[in-house]
Amino acid sequence: MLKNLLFFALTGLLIFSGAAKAVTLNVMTSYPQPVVMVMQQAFEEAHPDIELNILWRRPHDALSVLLQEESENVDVIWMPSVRTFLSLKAHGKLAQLKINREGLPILLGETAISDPEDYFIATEVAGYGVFFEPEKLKQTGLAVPDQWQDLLEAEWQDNIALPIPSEVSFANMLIDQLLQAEGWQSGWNQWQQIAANSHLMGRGGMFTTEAVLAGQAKVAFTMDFFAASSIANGANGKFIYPKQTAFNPAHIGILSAATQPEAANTFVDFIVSEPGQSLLLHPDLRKLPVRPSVYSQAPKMQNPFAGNIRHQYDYQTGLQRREFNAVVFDAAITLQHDKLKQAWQQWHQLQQNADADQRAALAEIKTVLQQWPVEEPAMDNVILQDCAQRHDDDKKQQNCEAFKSELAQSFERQYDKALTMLAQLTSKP
Amino acid sequence: MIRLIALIYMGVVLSESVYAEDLLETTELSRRALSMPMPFLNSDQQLGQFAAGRSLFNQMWVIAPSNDEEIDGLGPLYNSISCLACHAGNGRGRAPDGPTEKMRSMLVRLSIPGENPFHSEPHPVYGGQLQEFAVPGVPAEGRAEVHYEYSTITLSEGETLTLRKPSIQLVNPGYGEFGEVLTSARIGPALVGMGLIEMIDKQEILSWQDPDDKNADGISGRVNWIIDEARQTRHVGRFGYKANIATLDEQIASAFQADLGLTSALFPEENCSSVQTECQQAVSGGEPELTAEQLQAVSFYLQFLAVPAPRDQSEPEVIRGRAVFDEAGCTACHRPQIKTSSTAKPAAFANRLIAPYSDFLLHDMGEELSDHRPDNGARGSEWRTSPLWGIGLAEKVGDKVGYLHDGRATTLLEAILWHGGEAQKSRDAVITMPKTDRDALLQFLNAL
Repeated sequence: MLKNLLFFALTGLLIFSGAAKAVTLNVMTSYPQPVVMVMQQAFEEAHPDIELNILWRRPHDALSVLLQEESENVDVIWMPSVRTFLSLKAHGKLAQLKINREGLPILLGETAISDPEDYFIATEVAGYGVFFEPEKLKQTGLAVPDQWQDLLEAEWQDNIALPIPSEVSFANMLIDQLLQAEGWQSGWNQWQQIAANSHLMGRGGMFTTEAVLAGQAKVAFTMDFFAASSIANGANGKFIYPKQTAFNPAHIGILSAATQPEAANTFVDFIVSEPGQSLLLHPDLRKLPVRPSVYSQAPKMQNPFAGNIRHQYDYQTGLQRREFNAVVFDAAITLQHDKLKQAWQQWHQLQQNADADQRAALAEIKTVLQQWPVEEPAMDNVILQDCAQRHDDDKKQQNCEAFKSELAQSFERQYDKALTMLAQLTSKP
Repeated sequence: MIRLIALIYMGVVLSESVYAEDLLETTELSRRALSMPMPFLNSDQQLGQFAAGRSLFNQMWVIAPSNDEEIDGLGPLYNSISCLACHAGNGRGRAPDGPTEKMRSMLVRLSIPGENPFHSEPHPVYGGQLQEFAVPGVPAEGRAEVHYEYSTITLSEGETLTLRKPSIQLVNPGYGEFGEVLTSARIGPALVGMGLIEMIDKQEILSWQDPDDKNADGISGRVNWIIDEARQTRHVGRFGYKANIATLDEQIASAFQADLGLTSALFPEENCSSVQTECQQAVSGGEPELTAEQLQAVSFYLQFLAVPAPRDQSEPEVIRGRAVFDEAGCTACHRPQIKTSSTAKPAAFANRLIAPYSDFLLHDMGEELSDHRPDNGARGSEWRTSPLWGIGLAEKVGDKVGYLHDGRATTLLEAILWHGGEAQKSRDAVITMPKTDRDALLQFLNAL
């Protein structure tokens, strides 16, 4: 017995064995675990001589780290953040890629999704649209929206889940694509009305798609992969792109200070290769490949490169004003949501049985509600710049906050005025 | 026959009284089957809290310093960047298939040999767990390779199976040779029902103890008592493969500290040993790194993960499988019913008859499963009876999963065949029973 125990104890004891170390490639990413897990496992199986060391940071944090003089030892940067890549390129922090681009279009529609000078390349794209449960929508008599403007109508009251751009980063481009497509004021007025019909969704809570599945909303603004992976994981939902939408590319690039450039190029090559792109179809990912040939493996997935969905978006404009837009959204919508909702709900209610006089009054109230005190900013606008850099500079943060506060007060006065006018209209015999 | 009728009745009672009227279970069968909130969480606020906890559970943590202070503090030494990495879909992890494959949802506990059969000291340099990753400037501790020894087993009617027995080899030591060290590999376990497990009536668990096997049935389970020296109290160990953690908060906080390197109020020290100086000097993400609110949020999420409702309970094959499960003696440890405390919190958890299929006791599982490493009150061969609820959905929620503490089994049948010690008789019964009964047994397990 003692002999047996000794034998087993010794087999449990360990003796150092010197296995050969693989090359370690430091990859900075902001992707969630499922994406990292699927890609890392497949890559390391295909290239056992290279081991990925994942350094996770949100894009703004990653950029701030990589722009420092003595930054972390990072070989590859891989994330959905156009701004990060443009900035890194502008600061000379990226090296040109040495990969085979065959089968990888630079353009989506008329918009370049990869760097024409090969400093970074698109790895996937994600489009904006709406998610809903077809049966439930049918039961409530609501028609499937096929353009953003459908959601302005009173019938959508309390039926929409809308993410707040200052808290949910993907919402920035969602907001701006409508501003770019419809024009500054018209776009914002449409968001005001849509928001009045919406539940606003912040950070760290339910996904907008979950608000639909939980019955809190009938449709949700979301990105295609959130909806598609939710459906692939069992949700009984559907996702559609409105007639006009925008696609946001994710990228990969190699740092000019990379210590493992060869392994870095191997990783980049893998991510955009046919096998690497096919991994995007995994049920937990369901992201749109940038290699069009991969779509033949997923007939149900819409291929944005086929030209069936209108996509026109100026990334530079969107990026430069994203923080400004987020501040405006909070001032006009988030901070005034109750009043905005109340005003539009009353307005729609009165509109239903309004006589000619009331209609005239309601038209005037609508004008008050839709006054837009913020002009479309030029890219060198001081406040726009201050808001864009508010996280890095206390003074700019103060300026941006002061702007938001003043603007919020202005919108509050405007909505109060509209509510007073609505109350007067209601009290008239 | 009477016994069969009784079992069928018990099955009906179980499926109706345990699950039908309560709101603790989910009927979801998709990849989200182990990720749903208990249906009694129905207010926006509760669902928001659940989602907030999930968000932290899924969070990829950041190396300090960072602009995102609320999520920094990863490491200095760590096994994974997120909880999700080892518990994909809240399901089970898996073992690497060979020495060249990385441990992706598995870790290795370490200690040094000693005289005490119930307790062993952590390694003086490497601590109680091998952390394969480290923040920049801190050496990682090394790598664990899994090597397998394969054997074939023949069951009744000529059915054969290949089993693999793992051994761990530590390589690439970051702080000098490992020397004599005891190891125990552990895959991430499934996470459903933890809130209910915490609320099981202590007397129920105690009533099943029989450490000296006085009833001579060959089963001698015992509680792993967790001593709280500060308060001079003792608690029933309920969590972990060795039942050596008493509360859900402690289970979560210990995993954050040991696996991710995040300190909390419960585990305020970084996981550096006294000789790992670079580790000690690394930038901290706060004191503690995981705030009380964050710990509470993750705890809320895990507390209220819905238990999968058993499926196909009226199918003849499942009914037969349940009878086989009982006839083979599996229910002696994998208890089909257990009651929660009358004072359980929240009230929805009080006085519930639940079906985790475990007695939460330590049992001697034999030499083959022994890791020969005493671990906080448990001998090397002693393991807590693993709960079986939701086990049939393991392969639905994960791309590839493993069974048993070290993931050596790739199927439920393999897992059964590794049972030894107190479970030897049950294991032998499964080997000799007609194949149709074996299939029915597996069908029953897959319906849990």
